[in-house]
Amino acid sequence: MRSRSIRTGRHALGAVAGGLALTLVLAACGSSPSSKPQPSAVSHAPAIPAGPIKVGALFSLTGAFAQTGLITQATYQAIIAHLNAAGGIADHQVQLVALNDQGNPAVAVSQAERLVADHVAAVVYPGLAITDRQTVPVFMKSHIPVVTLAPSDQWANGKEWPYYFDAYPLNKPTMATLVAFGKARGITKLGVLGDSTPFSQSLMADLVPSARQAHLPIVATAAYTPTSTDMTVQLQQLRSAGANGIALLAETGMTHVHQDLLAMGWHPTILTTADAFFDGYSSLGALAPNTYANCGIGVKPGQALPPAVSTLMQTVAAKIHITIPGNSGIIFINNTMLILAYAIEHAHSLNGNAIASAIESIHGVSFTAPQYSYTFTASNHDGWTANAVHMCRLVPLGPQGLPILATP
Amino acid sequence: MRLFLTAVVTGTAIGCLYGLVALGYTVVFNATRVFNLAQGMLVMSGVMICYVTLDVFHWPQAAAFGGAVGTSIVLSLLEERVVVRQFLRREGEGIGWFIATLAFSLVIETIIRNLYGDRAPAAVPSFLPVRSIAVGPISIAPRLFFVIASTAVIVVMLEIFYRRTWVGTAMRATAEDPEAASLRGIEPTRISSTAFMLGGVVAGIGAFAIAPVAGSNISLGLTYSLAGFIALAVGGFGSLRGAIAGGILLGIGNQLWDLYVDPRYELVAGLALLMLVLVVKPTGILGSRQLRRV
Repeated sequence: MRSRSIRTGRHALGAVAGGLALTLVLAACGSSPSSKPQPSAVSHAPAIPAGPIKVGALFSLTGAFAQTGLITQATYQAIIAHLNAAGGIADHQVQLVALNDQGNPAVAVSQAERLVADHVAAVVYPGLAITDRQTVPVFMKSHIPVVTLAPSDQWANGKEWPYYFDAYPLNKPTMATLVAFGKARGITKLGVLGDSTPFSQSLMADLVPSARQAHLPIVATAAYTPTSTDMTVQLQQLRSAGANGIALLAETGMTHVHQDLLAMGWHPTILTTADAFFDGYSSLGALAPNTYANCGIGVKPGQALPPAVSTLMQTVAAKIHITIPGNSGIIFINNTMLILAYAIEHAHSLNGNAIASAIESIHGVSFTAPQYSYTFTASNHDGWTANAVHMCRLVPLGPQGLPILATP
Repeated sequence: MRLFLTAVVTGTAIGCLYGLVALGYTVVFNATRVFNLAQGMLVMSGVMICYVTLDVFHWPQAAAFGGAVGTSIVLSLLEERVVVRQFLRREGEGIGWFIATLAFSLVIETIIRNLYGDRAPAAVPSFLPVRSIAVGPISIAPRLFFVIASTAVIVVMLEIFYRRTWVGTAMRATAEDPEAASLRGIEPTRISSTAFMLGGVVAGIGAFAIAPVAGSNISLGLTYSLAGFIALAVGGFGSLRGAIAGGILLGIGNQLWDLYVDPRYELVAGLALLMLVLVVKPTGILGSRQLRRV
């Protein structure tokens, strides 16, 4: 899913970028030279000025979403440090300008304007789903590219949001995968549980048509608030309606949901978001064997990671001093940074239009590893290939804590 | 009907959590006329102590209980001595204590947030069994039942303390008429310290009961501060039973609102309840007007 946090799998590690290093990586990943943007398209853009390249980010470092914000910031810092160690972007070091939006839309808009005033070249994290609808228009108006992991499909419309680029799988195919997987696992009546956040509501909106299309009836829908500490009533609603599977579409409160399910002695099949690798992971208990999360990136049982990915994961995990289960977000964040690096180097400029044009020219280019390729067009700004959405087991984990792909 | 009853029972337990915070407010307010905005953070600090002792060090439950109560008392006394007393000593200082207690609460939150870092929220183990207990058509998790029982015990003990002990009587006297109490030799600073210590005890015991329900969540300090305030205003400032009644009403109201209306507007519903009660009965459900004969 796409709630925007490292742990959900929407932020990833940065690395081997910058001038020659990036070229080598792309070559090693099998990118086709013909897939690169044509410099002539952006040849009139001003050159990159001396000094570091500033990239902006709005994290929720205090307030209800602080835990997400702190870990996301730490991950971006680690990935950018990794990128700088490899030469930065076009021989310029990258400077992360990170501001605290407090998870508050009003504060977030004010901080977004500060980033604009600070002349950031791009924004790599415009805030959580609860604030980005307010902040993104600020960046669009100033022609500042936003290259990130979007929490909602709406941003993928290149015509409407010409400077927004999404490196994460879209919600619609993700929800379709989740429904198909659940049906194959034997779910005949689905209950849907969310946490009332915009992210959750967005997923619910995408799940309903997918379930209808798959002829999987949704027998009940319930929601709690991010500050709730007991979800017994909501779970009782789903159980009373006859649900034998739950789509848990939330980014908060997983611990309480698990606790309450265990207290009720109810162990349904749970289909959830990648947030489950973070929130509530340690409280799964007897629910673990029947709990599955979407995963844009997973590994097959027994599969080894490509060396570049393994190194990346180890480097970032060491820097943030924390091991996050299912941390495919590191790879996704790294992809966003490398997409931005690629675009700036091909545009030879920090001009927003030039960077956007360069990203739109990316066709079948791989970044962190060969299997993670991207294609952008002028109208489709979600570069992740739509069919690369999977479901993974939460337990056990694969190498470097990456999730293991599940089969129905 | 089963869902409705489940919502009522769950709401009662959650309401008791709010009520425990409101009780802390009341204990301090009655004796000092200070509204201790750090009360929710004291509870949160106790919860985090439970997390550390049980989840990190795997110490016994008694250590968690002692740690939570001890920490809350120490922090509360520190607040009284360093932050609040300066304002109580001076005449005509307005509501400086209001900002001071808010600042103290933010200091606690910031320190704990930095200590906790970016770890994921985690469940805090309870000494009670996990599986729910069936009561007629509904079932209740033992940890929620423990919250209700703890709240009842705390209220009864506070009532006994206020009515049967010399210090409790002195605190009531101070609450009713600080000047007269002072003329009779009751030392205001001692009463103030005792009130804050009592607030710390309530916060600590509450934290031990709340921890298995709320888990290691730093943001719960702010959440419970607000909910506790609403509970206090609904129940009536100064009333122990009112604090609990307000909390339970708020808890049940929230659960029913989530079940039948829309959880996105849960906070609005709580504030609407507050406004309604204050319009109909400005002193709160169990609050009473205070008259002073001169």
